[in-house]
Amino acid sequence: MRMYLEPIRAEGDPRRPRRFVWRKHILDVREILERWISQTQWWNQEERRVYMRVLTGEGIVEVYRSGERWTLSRIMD
Amino acid sequence: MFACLHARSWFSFLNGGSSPEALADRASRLGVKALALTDRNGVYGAARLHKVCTLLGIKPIYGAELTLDDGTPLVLLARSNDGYANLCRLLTEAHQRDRLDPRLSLDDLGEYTADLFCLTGARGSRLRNLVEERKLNEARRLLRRLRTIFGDSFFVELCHHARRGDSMDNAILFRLAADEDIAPVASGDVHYAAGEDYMRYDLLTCIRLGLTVFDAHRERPVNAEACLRSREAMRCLIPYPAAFDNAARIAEACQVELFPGHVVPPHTRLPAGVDDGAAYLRSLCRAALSRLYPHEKARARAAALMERELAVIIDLELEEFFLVVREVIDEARRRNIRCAGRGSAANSIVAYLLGITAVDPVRHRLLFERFLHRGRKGTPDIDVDFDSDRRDEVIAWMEERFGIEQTAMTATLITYRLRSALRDSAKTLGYPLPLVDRMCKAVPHAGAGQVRVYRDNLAEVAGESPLLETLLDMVERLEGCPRHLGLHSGGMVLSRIPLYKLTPVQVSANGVKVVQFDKDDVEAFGLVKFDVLGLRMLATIGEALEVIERSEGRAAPLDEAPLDEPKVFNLIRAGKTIGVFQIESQGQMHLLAQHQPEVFDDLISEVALFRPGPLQGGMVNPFVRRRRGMEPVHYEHPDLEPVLRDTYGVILFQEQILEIAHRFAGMSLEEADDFRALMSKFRDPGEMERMRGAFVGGAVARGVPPATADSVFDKVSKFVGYGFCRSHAAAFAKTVYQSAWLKVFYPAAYMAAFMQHRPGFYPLLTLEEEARRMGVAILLPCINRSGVRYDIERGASDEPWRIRKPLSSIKHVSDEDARAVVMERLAAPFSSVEDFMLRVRPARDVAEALARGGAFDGLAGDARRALWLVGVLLRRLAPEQDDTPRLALETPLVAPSDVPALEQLNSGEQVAWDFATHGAARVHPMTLIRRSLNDLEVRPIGTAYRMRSRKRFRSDPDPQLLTAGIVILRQRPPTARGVMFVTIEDETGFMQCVVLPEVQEILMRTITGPALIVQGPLHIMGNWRGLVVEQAWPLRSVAGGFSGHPSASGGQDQHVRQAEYSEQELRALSKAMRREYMVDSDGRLVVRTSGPLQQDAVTRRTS
Repeated sequence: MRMYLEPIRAEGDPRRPRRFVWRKHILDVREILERWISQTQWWNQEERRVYMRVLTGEGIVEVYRSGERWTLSRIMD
Repeated sequence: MFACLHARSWFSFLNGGSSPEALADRASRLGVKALALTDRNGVYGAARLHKVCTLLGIKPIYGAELTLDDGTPLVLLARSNDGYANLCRLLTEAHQRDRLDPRLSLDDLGEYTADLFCLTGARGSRLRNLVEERKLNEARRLLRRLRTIFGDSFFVELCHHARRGDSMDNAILFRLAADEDIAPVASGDVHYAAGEDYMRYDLLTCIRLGLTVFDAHRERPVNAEACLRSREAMRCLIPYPAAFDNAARIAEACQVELFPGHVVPPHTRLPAGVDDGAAYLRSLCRAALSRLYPHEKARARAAALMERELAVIIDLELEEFFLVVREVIDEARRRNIRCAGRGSAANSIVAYLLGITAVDPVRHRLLFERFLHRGRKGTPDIDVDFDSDRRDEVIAWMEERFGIEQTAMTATLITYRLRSALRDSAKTLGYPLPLVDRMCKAVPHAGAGQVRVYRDNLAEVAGESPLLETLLDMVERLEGCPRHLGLHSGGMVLSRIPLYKLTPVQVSANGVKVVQFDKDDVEAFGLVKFDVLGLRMLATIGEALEVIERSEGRAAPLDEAPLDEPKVFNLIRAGKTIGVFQIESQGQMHLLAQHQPEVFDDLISEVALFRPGPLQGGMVNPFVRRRRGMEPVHYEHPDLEPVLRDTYGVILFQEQILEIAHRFAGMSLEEADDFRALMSKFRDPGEMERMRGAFVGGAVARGVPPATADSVFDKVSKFVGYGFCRSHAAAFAKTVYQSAWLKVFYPAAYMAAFMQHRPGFYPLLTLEEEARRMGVAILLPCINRSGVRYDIERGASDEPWRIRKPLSSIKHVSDEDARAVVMERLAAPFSSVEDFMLRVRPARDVAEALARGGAFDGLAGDARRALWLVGVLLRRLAPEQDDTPRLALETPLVAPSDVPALEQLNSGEQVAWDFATHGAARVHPMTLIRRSLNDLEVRPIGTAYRMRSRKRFRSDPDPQLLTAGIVILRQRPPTARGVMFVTIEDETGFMQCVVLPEVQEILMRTITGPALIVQGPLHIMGNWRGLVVEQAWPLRSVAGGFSGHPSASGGQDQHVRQAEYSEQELRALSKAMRREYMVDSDGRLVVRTSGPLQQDAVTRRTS
């Protein structure tokens, strides 16, 4: 599993994205495996992060949405 | 029915983020029909949950998270009243095993599981931990064991906080439940009402765990999702419909009725052949009536009042309550324990006739409705003060009489206030501790919600930063949040049924049994609370009477003394009231100088006048001036005259509010008391306006002009809540009179008892000076004369009594040490220090303290020689040197050659040793520097009392005074608008200094010092003197550091005769002394006085 923490573009309903575009790769969503929420540093005005573990055509990736921004967190080996 | 079966409130004490009220309110808005409160190891919020749920139409369910022996929680819900009783029994058992960490094992649940639903618990529970670790076989074994214990009432709990792994864990739990044929149940495992409360929950978690917000911990939340959710939101997270159906079934099955809606007093003991409590109460009252009201006319009036009260008491089924209180009072009196009823109970003639209170409501025109009326809910408050030394005896008797399972103390909820919230929040946000201390000192005692008022103070200390905003926000959020459970000062719960049926019983830090509810909640359960308060003044009076009887051989006729003794009123009017109950403060002395009480009723006014209500409402001056005929008595409306006539048109007592609402605003007496009670509770503008409408509307309907009605309401609103009721003031006035009576007629015995119990706030130094002023000498602790307590003695019968300080007044000498000395002395007096050391074998610190404190002076000559002897003896008696038995005729342990020729203590050392060992010196420290002060023309404080006012007009200046003294009191009362009062004392007396806010700003560092030189105009009023400080200097360099407190004398046991002033200070001092000064060639400042040049008097500070 590798950590990336790079911006990623999501397409479709933010609660159920259809596809992600990362660098020049297109990652079609086949299934959302798990969803969880993280919001820890309230004293630091940290935004709520909605994490998703997603099965894509290229493998399993972990992304999160914070406000309008999407970030690629990790890619499973 | 959609139910939430697992929710913690902030009554889990730092383990829950919202109040029961907030949870219920949100539940109502989300459509939750049943809400269970499951606080950690307690049902603390049950009464509040019941109240709010009844209001909102939600079904309350009572339960708790019980901590198991491995620290994991198990959720228990009461199905019926029996189930609730079982829950309380289990919680009681857990708390009694370990006060700080209550736990039970599964084996302990045993016979107390009937009618309890058990849920396995959510994250952190034993089952969930096993599932997270994927130890599924162990999980199955646990499920089987719990099912054996709880049978069909056992459920596997599914909850989802949107944490990583929650969905998978729930899927495993659901499958396990299906495999083991156990029903699953959906729960919220709620930790706070709404998402925004998550910050408070995390902050409280950090406080509980002693972490900062920057520290990681598995118990800290990772998101804001442990809030209450709607059915739809829950179903999205927990996709098992059966689990919701089971939750609804449990909620429907829970049927608990805890709140009877009426009072259930404990059984009283009726005499043989009597089975009607009401008839017995009436017969007791009638019997007392003829004794207390011998005159027919007064008796007839009293009888009518009594019948009216009895009718109300019997209607409210409170007759047994009154009989129970009477039983307690009678028992205390039988044991010769002094007690006195106070508070609104003194409005009742029935309480007076039963001997519960000592104030005659007929004579003092007291109003029963202030105490009790038919509209009142719950039990009336009967507060009784007992001798604080013997209160425990009363409590022990009550436990024995009413049953150990039926009695416990009421709890007090300790909630966050500004300083505590600031301290805990700042520490948690990572502020360094010294900075936290300074921040806390920068704000006053106030509610946490007011923190933004003091933002600038905090910014000045901590600096501006985004973190400061976060801190303010969090402090605000802690407003009203409970921090821990405390013990009520005296509220004893007396129950007819065993308490475990209503509440778990915990053990307090000092071993007292305490219920999990505060006084209001206790009332909701229909329980009777009886305030058994300890009053040190009663202990003082009781001990003084014992000392008098022992020394004089006859009892002092205190209780029979008439209430108009001129000598007593002379003492009070002269302001010689140090040691007198309630009127010994400097503020009271000032008021006494104006008020000049002449009769007992004046003492009632005196006690009531010095309260925030009259003080802030500006009622004191009109009262005093009108009483002295300096201004006419004015009533805003003729209807107010009968109510306010005896207080010169000024509102002084709570009863007057009630009467004004009744006579002026046309309310019934019951409505009037409700109005009074509401006015004291609600201070928000909306509620106030509603009450103004009711009051003014009622008055206008009776023909009162609206402007007058408005004006009267304004006066009423300023007073309510901060004033005494007349009955309470009358009860206190009696103790005021009795303490003054003892001080006048038995000063030695009274002051000895006063020093023993110290019910006031003056230091021992001041009390000893006061005794000396009254002609009572103070004798040092003596190894052959002193006992364990303060006592009095005299040489011959014509000599005055003197106070002998006890051995235990010496620091490091405990009561046990003193008792050992006294017991050994019973055989024979000690003939020498060696004799004492051989017979008593005290510890080193005790022996040395006795020597330094002068207890051996009679045997050794002086303290330094005694200390030397003790040192030699301790070395020679040390176990390694004392292994051979000594014969009676053996040579002494100390030979004359062992003790060198020691210099006697000089006066400075003597005073320092006295202070360090027994808190006050044989001479006042100021005497040691009197000559130096005289040289500087700094006058003794006694000079102020010889000065007379020559003012003809108010604009004439007051005389100036330059004086000095040790600070004995420093106060800044909230009612004084920032003014600080500093009381200084020297060997000639004491005086209050008034430091205005603008002077404080300049002189703050100086006036917070232990001893001061002050200068300013002297206010003269009768026998009272007050100096308005214009300039002040520290006395430290003259007085050598005697701070008036023994702890401050360490290391500074020699006074310094040379002053250390900056040149600026010297100029000001010299100016104040109206003398020329010059700096000589050695840099010394020379002050030219009326006598010869005093070149050594002061020198320039060298540093």
